[in-house]
Amino acid sequence: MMGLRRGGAAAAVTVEPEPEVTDEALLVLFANGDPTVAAELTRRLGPRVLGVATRVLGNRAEAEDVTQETMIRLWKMAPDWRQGEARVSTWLYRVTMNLCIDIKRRARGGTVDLDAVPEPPDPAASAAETLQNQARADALQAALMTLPERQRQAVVLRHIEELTNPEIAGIMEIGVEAVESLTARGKRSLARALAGRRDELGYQDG
Amino acid sequence: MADHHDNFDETEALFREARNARPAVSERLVSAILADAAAQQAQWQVPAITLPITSQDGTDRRGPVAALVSALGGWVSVGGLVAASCTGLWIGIAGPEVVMTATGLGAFGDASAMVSGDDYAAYETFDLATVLAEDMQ
Repeated sequence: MMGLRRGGAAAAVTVEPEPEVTDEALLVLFANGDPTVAAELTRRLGPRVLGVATRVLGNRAEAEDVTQETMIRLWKMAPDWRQGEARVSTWLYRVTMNLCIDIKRRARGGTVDLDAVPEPPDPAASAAETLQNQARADALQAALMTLPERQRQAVVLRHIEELTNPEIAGIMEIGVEAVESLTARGKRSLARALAGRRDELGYQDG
Repeated sequence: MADHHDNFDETEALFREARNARPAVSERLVSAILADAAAQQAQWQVPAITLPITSQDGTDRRGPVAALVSALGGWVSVGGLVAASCTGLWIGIAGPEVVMTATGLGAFGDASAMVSGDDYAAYETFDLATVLAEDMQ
């Protein structure tokens, strides 16, 4: 697995790293006791879990807790992983969504922590642009939090994670038609929620 | 209708920005995740014979079979024990006459040394309870 590390380091200086080992193969290596692959799996999957959990929960601290718990479940599940049956990422998203639902159930009526929304990583932007980008990110998150939970999950998976409808159906354990319905209604609701904030979000500029 | 499309375009633009602004996993969280991974792998490796016999806190990390074998004197001793047990079982099933006439044992004595039927009857009346009763007196 040293090759992986070399590939990771080389990625900083070369354009394209060598073909990557699949998540599934890494998981099998992990289950076999390879101590080097956990870092690579965390590098690949951690940001995805944290990103989707942050969007669905609207709270960074809770999203980090969900991320750690999801990864613990991945480590524990590794020896029982049945190869070729599902994608590791699909399994991971499903666990993440279920943990998010658990947290929301435990804390009904909680408030949205907009300070915890991830900041746009754009060091070249001016202060005004940064503020406006932040306003847009906050506006999107605030609008997302107005959606019913399942709609929010479907919209985040479809439009931010860019997953296919069949994959979302597998994650949410519903039919593809139900996914289409959730994403369509969710997107309409988002558009309505954002409609009154066009000037605030700076879209009149261009 | 135009407004409707504008709203959708803006929503798409926001999605695009959100996709480019994935949160980075902090060093602290990465460390916690990797510690969990190492702990999980360590749990699986506990029964492995190649691990040190005792951990840092001095507790015995061997599996129960390995501990039993060690207590009996190692695999060589266990092999002898198994051979003796099998022989005893064979003697018990086959009976003493078969044992005495077994191939190779005939060289140890002549026919007069063989246990006669009367002698064998005497053995039959011999039991551990009798010996113990005599010892008690």
